[in-house]
Amino acid sequence: MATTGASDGASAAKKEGLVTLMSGDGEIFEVEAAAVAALSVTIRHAIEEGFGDRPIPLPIVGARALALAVEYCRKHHSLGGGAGEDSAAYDDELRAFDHNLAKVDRDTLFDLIEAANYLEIEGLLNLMCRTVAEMMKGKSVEELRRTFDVSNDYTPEEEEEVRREVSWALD
Amino acid sequence: MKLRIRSMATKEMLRVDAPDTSSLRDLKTLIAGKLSSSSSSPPIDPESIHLSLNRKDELFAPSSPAADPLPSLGLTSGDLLFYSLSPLSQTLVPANPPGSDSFGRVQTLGSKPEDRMEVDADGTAGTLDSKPEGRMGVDPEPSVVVKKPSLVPRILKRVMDLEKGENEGILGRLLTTIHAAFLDSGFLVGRGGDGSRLPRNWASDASNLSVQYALRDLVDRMEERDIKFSIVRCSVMGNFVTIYGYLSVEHPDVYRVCIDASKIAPFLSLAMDSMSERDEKEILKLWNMVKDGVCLPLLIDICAKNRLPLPPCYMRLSRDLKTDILELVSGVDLARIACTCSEMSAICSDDKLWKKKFEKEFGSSSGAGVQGMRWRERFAAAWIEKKNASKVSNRRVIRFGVLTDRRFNPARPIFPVRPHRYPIIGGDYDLYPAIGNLSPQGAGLRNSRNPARQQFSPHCNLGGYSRGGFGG
Repeated sequence: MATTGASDGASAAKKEGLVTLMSGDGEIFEVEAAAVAALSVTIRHAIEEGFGDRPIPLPIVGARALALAVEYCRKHHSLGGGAGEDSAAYDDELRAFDHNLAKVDRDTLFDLIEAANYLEIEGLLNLMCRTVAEMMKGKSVEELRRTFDVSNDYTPEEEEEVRREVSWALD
Repeated sequence: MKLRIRSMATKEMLRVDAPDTSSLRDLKTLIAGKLSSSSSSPPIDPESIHLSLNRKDELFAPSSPAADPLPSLGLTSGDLLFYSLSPLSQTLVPANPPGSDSFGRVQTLGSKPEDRMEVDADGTAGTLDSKPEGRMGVDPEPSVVVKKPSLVPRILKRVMDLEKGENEGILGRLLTTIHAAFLDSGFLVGRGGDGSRLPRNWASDASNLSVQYALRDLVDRMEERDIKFSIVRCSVMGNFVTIYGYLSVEHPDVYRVCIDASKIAPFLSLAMDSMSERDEKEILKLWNMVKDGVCLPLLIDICAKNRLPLPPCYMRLSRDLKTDILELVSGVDLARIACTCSEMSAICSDDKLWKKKFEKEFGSSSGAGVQGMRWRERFAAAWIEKKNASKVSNRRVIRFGVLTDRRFNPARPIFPVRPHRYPIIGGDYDLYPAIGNLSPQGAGLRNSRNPARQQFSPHCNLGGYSRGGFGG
């Protein structure tokens, strides 16, 4: 198991190979320490600091996002970095997994972005940011406002002014 | 409370034990003391320490740094804090505009207002609203759940079980699904229901169902005048079920989704456990449609009207995260995003962002625009230039294309070569018959060396024909 970064203080966790995470809304998750530590920098540090036998508090991560983030870590830990003949098949499976994960509703999507950012799971953060960027592509100003729930705080004059500045992009 | 303090620069770790009553300023003084004693460097001014829970947003005391005790900032024993001696890259200005500061972001860190129901909790976790409300640290007996998310959110299955007996028929199951989506977004049923359950006997008049939803913090106070809640109605027209959602305010925005019940019937009638992946995907599609179309807009409205912090949405992300996403969009999209609101305009006016867009789109060596211009303007100039250039090159392609066709493609009918070019059939001449009338003299007009005449040259580029030997 690739807990290279969590060599010292993780002995307690290693006994059972599990680590306990507590979401901001108080839910407890027991997950494989190796999988989450390999992908989440924040959890790796927490384990190094001796949190292996106590629940690691993750104050700003909700249970729903944490469940998905943990699943992401599991999947990528078990399939990612695989070498040899299976690696192509693994890659496909990972791609399919990521593809499905990116299909969550917007509410969960932004929850996941904040969670991935806090947990420092770079791959997940990139995946979700790319998803949002993809959603922004080719949309008109009105569509953007609708999709991303942006409330228009311009007066009509101000709006005309900002639109004039970027008129080259609006036709 | 015991806190762990980690340096953002050196990752060095400190442990401090601050009394629960101490304020943010006390904590900073404590940290400064520890830092100064552990290193030989000159003493550190407590005011120069910037603390953060997520290394993005600085921790602020809502009223004054000397007064608010640490627990009121969402801190509890065991928390990991990040400190930096230089200002954090952003949010030195609080994320919320002045005026709404009593709901500053920092306060919400430990206890999200929407306090949503867990998605994947094991079915045995009891009723939906028995979830412990407390933030970490004060939570008495959290239930242990090991997660296994499937495509379909678990909450849906649990709500289906809860509403057993009521959710008969397609409409019943559809409305239960929509109800579950609302619960998942953090809504609870107000008057007439009990939190997570729909009003009793709702199924007897399902096609006229109207439910009042409010957030956890508001649901008990719905009688108060200034509390706004959301109303969700269902209307059935033939096979189409329309779900309307709006807020209990004057002139509310109404959100709706229209669902074709005949299309979803086959998979909605399946038991939740025996679904194939394809069925699950269909359910997920419906789920996302309801959540994105009605639940989330209502959630945002209800938070805004009751002055609660925003639910997860793009605008709630920290400025850094917003910028991370904007780095991935194209320059044109960025320009449009800048038009959506003043905050986005401010973020999008970051010239570093535009420099990257410029280099990505036109290469770093491109000389479009004048040095000293802002990158955004240079991008616009280069964009327009490129657009015009592509028009010109398109024209050339057409010209040579036509020539090649006419000369070498035997499959294409060859028009007889005439001394005058009229009438010519096909191409722009057919599309723009008026062109044909421009030049009674024929070849004379097609002199490409006569600049005065060039402005009459339409897209078909008459000069090309001349040189190609058509009457020239």
